[in-house]
Amino acid sequence: QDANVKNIQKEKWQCEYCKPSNATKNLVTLNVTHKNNDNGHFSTASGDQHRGLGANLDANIATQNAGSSTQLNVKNVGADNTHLQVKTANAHSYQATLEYKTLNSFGHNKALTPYLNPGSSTLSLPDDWQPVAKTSDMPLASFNTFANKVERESWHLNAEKVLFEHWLAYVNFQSETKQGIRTASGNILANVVLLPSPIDQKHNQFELGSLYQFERGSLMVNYNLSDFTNDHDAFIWQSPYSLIFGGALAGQKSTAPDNKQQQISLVGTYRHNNFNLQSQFMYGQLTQQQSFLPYSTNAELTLPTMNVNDLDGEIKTLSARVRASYRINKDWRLKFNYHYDDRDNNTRVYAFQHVLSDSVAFDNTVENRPYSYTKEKMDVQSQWRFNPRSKLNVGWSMDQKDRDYQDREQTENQKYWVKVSTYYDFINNFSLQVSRELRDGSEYQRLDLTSPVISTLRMQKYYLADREREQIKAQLSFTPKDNIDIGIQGYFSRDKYDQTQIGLVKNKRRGIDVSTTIALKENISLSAYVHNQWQDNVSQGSYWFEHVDWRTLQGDKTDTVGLNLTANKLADDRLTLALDFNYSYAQGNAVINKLTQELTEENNELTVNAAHIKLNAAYVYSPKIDLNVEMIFQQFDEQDWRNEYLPDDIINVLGTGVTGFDYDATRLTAGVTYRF
Amino acid sequence: AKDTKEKRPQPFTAQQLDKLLMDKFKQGEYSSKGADSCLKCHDRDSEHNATGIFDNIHGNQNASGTPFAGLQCEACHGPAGDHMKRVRNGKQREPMITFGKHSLVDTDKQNSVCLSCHEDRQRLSWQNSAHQNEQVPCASCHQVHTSADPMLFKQQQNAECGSCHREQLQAINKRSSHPLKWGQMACSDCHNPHGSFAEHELKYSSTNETCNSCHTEKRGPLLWEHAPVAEDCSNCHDPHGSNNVALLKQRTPQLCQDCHTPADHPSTAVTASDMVNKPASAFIIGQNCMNCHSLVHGSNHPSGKTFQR
Repeated sequence: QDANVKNIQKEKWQCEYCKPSNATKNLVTLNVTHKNNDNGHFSTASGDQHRGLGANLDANIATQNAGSSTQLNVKNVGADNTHLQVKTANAHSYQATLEYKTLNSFGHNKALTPYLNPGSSTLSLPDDWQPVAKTSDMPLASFNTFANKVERESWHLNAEKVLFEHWLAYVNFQSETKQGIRTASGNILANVVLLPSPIDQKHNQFELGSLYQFERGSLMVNYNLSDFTNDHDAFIWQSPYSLIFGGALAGQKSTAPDNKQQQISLVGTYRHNNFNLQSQFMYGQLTQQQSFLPYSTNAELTLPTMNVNDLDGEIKTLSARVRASYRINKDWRLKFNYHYDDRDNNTRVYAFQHVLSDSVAFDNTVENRPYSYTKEKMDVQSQWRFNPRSKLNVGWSMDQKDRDYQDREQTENQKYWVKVSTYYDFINNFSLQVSRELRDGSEYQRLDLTSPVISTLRMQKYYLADREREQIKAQLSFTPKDNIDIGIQGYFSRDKYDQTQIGLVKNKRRGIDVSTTIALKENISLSAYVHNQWQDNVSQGSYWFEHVDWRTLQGDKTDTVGLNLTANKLADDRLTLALDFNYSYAQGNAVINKLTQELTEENNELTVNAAHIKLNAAYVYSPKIDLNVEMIFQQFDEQDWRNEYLPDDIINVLGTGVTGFDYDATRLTAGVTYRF
Repeated sequence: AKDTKEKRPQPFTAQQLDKLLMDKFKQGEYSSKGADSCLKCHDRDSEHNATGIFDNIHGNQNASGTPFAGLQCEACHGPAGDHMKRVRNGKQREPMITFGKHSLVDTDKQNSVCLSCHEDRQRLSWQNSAHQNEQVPCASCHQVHTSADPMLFKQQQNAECGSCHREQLQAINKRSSHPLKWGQMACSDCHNPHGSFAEHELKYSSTNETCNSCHTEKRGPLLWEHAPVAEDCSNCHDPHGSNNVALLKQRTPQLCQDCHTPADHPSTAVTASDMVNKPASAFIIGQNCMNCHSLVHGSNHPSGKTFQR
């Protein structure tokens, strides 16, 4: 639209009232915290594991010269999760950002292990360790403790420069390290140990590109390199169990290999009148040349020499996206999308000796299966505004996948959907969307091992299986009174796998959400919500592979309620108070039908209770000083019988002694903000 | 305090408003004193206080390319020279371009104002994006008249996205989820709400590439790939949250048994009652199938065909 500014007398535009709320815009906040609990679940959510007194710093400092600005943003320096950012920019000329971030996740911090050096790539038992036949004979009292923890630390540099009018170039570099200990299991035949395994990885990403924008569109070219390196090629553990027939004394597991991904993409956009076209083409490759580990570290095994040193893995990727829309008139528009993704795995197929858990060398060889696939998706939709307030959307999409080395080489999914939306008077929005999908494909031919090959029962893996999917989603938001907003959402989704006898045969998910926001006064608002969700999965199996002889219904439900109360402009416009409460209850059940015995039993499998209260008060003490007080309280407990076992409960599995999280935790924060 | 909230007489229809606004551009009647004309009413005491704009870059007159380096308020709201004039009984105040989901101004036209400056490489895919298709105005998420747009703060961003995406918002309260609840991560860490060429408006070109951008150790190529993992992480995981551990869609071993019923393993439905009546079994508790097959995301060990090495 032409702004038509010829009559403006800009000299009269004094902008006398154009003043920032504070003459000083630089902020530094010192927060003093006290946390009474250092368990991993709460620490991951709150971003800090320190127990007791702690302190962290926030800052927001900006400088501005004519045309350019520099900003320093600092968040939680001193806490485990920290963020620092320096950004400098000159509009229409350049922009550069340097960022430092940590994002840690914590698990149980008192896990038990017999190993002397948790987190090492060679896990050793004490010299005087006496191997035993079963876990209950192990000396748990002498075990060491370790903490499950993954620390991510990243640096990110981004620079963008306008080279000429409408033409810019950019470069990104990001380096992330990931270190810590994660529990992983290792087995020697049927004897299993949960191992404190090391994590010591680095991921560097480099991106370079250029964007050219013209009146009717743009062109962008981009190159991306992602380089992953792992400091550990393998990890080895001594078995704490006594030697069983044919078993090894130690095991060796592989870790994630070093690998690279490179990608080049070209994006083009074009618009003219009512027509809009966008496309993207990408070509890339993933490579991996990590040296193979030996078949086994067990010197007792007689194994052939491997005739290859590394995988020399290579996957070529090719993707294309085309999106177009055309506005036939002001009320009717058509859209078309096309996605093409090809993953061409050029890795060679090799024959390897079949070796089982460092203990058994079979006579046969096994071959790798370098999976390739091609995905094509096309959808067409029409959007028609049939009156000024109402729209009707109808659409069709077709999604085809071709694969190799899998039970089904082709699947095709067709989806039809319709959506009506409207608003009128106090109804801000009402929409109803209904869709139906049908998936089938080429003949289902079972591959070895994964299926009961001796039976004629139809087993279809759920991601390849014939499927009927029906989905409904409805949404209503309205304002019954000027100060009250109410929203209601409901959704229902059902998958049926009628051609499956063994495997997942049905999945159902439905839920309802009701929320309201009430402006109690001009400065006080209350919002509340309730969300209920139910999800059922029905699976079938066969013990004897002659007929379906068991069926399980795994049912989950989740109830969430919450409340938020905010009052601002209190105490002479100086005080803001906020209360946030949330309670969530989840339950998982399993109903088992043992069909041949005509037995049905129902069991509660898991229960989770989680509640939190967050209170916050912010007070403007003086033009230069703000005060802030916050309390977060969380109560959490999970009961999941799968995790409720002692390290020596299972005769052949040495656990770490950790069960579900069960805690009450409080974090208090008092902060002072200084403006200058 | 000035009352800028007016009793609405018979409102314009969207078509009438559209025509009026187009005519106003033709007439080019801008305020005689620029922003000062507007701020006489829309000051700090007003219900429609606009002065927060001076605490962010939009209100900076010294930075080139900002609205206030140009036509000030009317750079975005269009010519509104008569908006401040006294309104006669039964008449409408002169309309202008307004923003947000309650505005009668066509959403594409609202957004074209923002995109005239912000159609950069992060927003190249706005046209034909899911939010554009749903006619979501920029101003239904972003706030310009405040010192800091709430969308720039992770926790507030998550709440704002969740005001429509209720199911996904509530999923962060589930037993296993990414740490979005108190803002350690944000929706925009995975999604580009301004549109992308990928499914679900993901930041990377596919679901797997998005997951692998942080969980790069699972990327490969690997000697022994697990086919559903190579195809789509969401075959087994629900990235928004789950009652099961590790964001799994279903509890194991049932999840594994939906695809695997090898003849040399017991194919049984296992429940807590099996725990009571039998000795604890490695097939059932702990990491069950993954007690042995621990590398379900794939292995690069020559002896790792069954993901044990």
